[in-house]
Amino acid sequence: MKRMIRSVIGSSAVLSLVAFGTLGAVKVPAAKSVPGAHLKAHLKVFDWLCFSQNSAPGFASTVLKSYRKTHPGIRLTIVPPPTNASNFVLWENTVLAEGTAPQIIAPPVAMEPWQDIPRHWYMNLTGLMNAPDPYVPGNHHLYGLFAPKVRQELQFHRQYWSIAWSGQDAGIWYNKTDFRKAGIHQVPTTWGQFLQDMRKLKQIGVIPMGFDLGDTVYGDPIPSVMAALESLTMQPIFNQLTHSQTKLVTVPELVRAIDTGAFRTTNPRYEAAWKLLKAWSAYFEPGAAGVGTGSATNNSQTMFERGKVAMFYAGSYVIPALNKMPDLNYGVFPIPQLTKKTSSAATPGYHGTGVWGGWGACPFAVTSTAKTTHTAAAVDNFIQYLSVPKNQERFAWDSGYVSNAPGTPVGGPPKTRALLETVRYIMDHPSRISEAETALGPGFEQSQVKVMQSYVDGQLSLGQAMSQMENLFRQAALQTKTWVGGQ
Amino acid sequence: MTRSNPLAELSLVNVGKRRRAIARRSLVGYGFVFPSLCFAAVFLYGPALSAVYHAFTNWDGFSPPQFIGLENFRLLAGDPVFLQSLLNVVKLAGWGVLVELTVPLLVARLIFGLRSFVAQYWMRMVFVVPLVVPTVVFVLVWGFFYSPLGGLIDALLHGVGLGALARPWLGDPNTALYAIMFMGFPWVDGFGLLIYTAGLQAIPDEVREAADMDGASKLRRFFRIELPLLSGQLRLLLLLTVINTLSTFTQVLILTNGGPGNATILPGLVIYQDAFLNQQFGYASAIGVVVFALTLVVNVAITRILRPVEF
Repeated sequence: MKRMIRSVIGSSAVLSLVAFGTLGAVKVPAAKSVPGAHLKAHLKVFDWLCFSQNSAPGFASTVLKSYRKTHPGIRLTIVPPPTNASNFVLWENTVLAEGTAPQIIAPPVAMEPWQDIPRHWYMNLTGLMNAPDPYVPGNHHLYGLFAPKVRQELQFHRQYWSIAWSGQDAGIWYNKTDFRKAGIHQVPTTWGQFLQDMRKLKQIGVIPMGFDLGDTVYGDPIPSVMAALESLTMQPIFNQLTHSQTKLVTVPELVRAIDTGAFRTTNPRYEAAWKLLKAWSAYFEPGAAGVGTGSATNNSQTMFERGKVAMFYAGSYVIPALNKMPDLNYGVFPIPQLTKKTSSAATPGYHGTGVWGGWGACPFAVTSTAKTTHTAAAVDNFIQYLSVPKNQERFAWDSGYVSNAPGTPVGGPPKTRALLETVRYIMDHPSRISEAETALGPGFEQSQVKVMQSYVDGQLSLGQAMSQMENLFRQAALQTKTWVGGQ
Repeated sequence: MTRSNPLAELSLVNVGKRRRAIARRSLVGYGFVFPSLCFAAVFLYGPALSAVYHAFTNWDGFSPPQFIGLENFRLLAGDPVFLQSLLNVVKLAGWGVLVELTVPLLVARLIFGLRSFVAQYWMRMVFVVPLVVPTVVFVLVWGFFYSPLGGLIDALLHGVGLGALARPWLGDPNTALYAIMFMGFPWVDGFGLLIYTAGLQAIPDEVREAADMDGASKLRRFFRIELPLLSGQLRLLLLLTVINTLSTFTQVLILTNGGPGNATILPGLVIYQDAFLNQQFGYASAIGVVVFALTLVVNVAITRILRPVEF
């Protein structure tokens, strides 16, 4: 859905580009000393509307314009997205396969390029990340301009294949007015409170939760939500599976665990995560399992904006749109923690439920087109320019994202800032399995959503759902093995 | 010593000339057809043959395909999603055939029976104009009708005091497929209507007059005279309905994406998802081959069983 929203907002953003072209432009050195000012190239960037998410004067109108001004030899074209978000992966794969992809491309998720490494569709960015950024005096390595956590999340076999100047994550957006009416004065922090609050909302005649369970778009929040719930119940298993510094289960670790049986869907802890979904689903809007709810008129965000549901689960990309609703008093909170009181699968400590982390907003990768068109130098220069912390900040603010530059404030107007603080908290506490499960690919995610739908609406028992999930994990692991070992 | 027959020689010369002239004319004809044949070979038969070839491979759409024999077909036989899609498409085809063969025929006959030609014209227009509405718009409108939050159908049910029956029609696995079937109510397909109207107009007046003179009632005349004489149209629409249904997926793609779960999954959608989302082009091709074979068998059966009645 985030892509759909982007496309809706995108058109107004283009106007704002024209209207506010010069406001707040980042100061760059005089043309003579500008790195790469002599370069000549035609750079095509597919940004998936990341540069124009908001209609406010923002990144596109300042940074891009400034870059164009200081690099007269570089013609910069922002390639518009395909009309149908679900065809997005197909479109990208097609242009990549035929060698006509833009040099810089936004894949659905940062790990998308990993599986295409053997196909030589993407450029390895490790050299670029290790080199200094000439735009930042004193910088020795470009990677130093990214928060350490983000750096780790972006790496695959210690190599960089994508870059993300901003991050975001999914949380539960709630209507403060509805909460007050239901006598809820604090956001729930435990799963038990969460269920209780939804009961209260239901009692006052409000649909507690909008949930786009029909959404199967790769990388969207709903297809990733199981990873958040698994994070609440499966900590002991994750401790066995991973030896990574970040404590996040890596793709090779997950694939190995599926192979060896260390990760089984028949494990009571895995089942417990699905039971949480079932308990939650009792408060979803009617027909949540139908894709119709993902339509333009019935998606959970629209229902939330119209006051038809009290909460919905989505990424922070919704902030610009929600801010346009003058009467909407809203906030956001992370998926609440599980306690022993509610489930025997609960374990002590805070368990992250973020599903995207630093890689989930606008990841970018460089395609092999940069090599074939001999424009790699210009591409590197453009990336170095965008990586300047000030530019990263601008990129993030207007889109409801959080800058990935280390130590930068979340920025934006006060209302947005408060929300983004929560988003950053969620980002900083990702699910330990989310990245690995996402890397299993769009096919896995889509099939998982189907099982979720069938389980939630009673077509499948828990046992049947677990059996289907076991098959899905095994199939995905088989496919993933074909690329997970390569670099 | 034999003497040649000049007449026979002349005749042979003529035959030769005639043959050459025919050949020349044929060559010109083939020349005109040739570009179309080329396009058909490249854009119609080429992909179809390619699908047959790829059905025996593990092609992912991008990497070189590897031959895996009948593995895709073996997997297909035990694939619950594909089997569910077959069951759904049988239901959908059954319903489609029922409404396509009856409702437009009934309406066409009623319109044909109108005394005023002007009224006939306008009535036909009423049912044919919706043909110009793009399928996507049609489907989205029905999606709105079915919406559980403010949708027309639930609103109507509430309005007439049957609110208890209101439900998320597309979000409930028990009703989703039937909701898809119900779309297009009252099912007067403009294309079918035109075909039947043309068929009715083609029946000579003499035939009807003869039946009238023999004292046949209107109902008897319809069932005994007109309906048999419309068997060609019936057969055509039957074939087209079966072919369309077996390959359909637009409605479910837009409205339910095959869900909830796999409640509305159809073979066409399985092919689309496996090929373009899961990048399993080999497996999707195998499904395509199976669907093609089924379509062929059903169509051959229909053409063998239903033979058109001639005047």
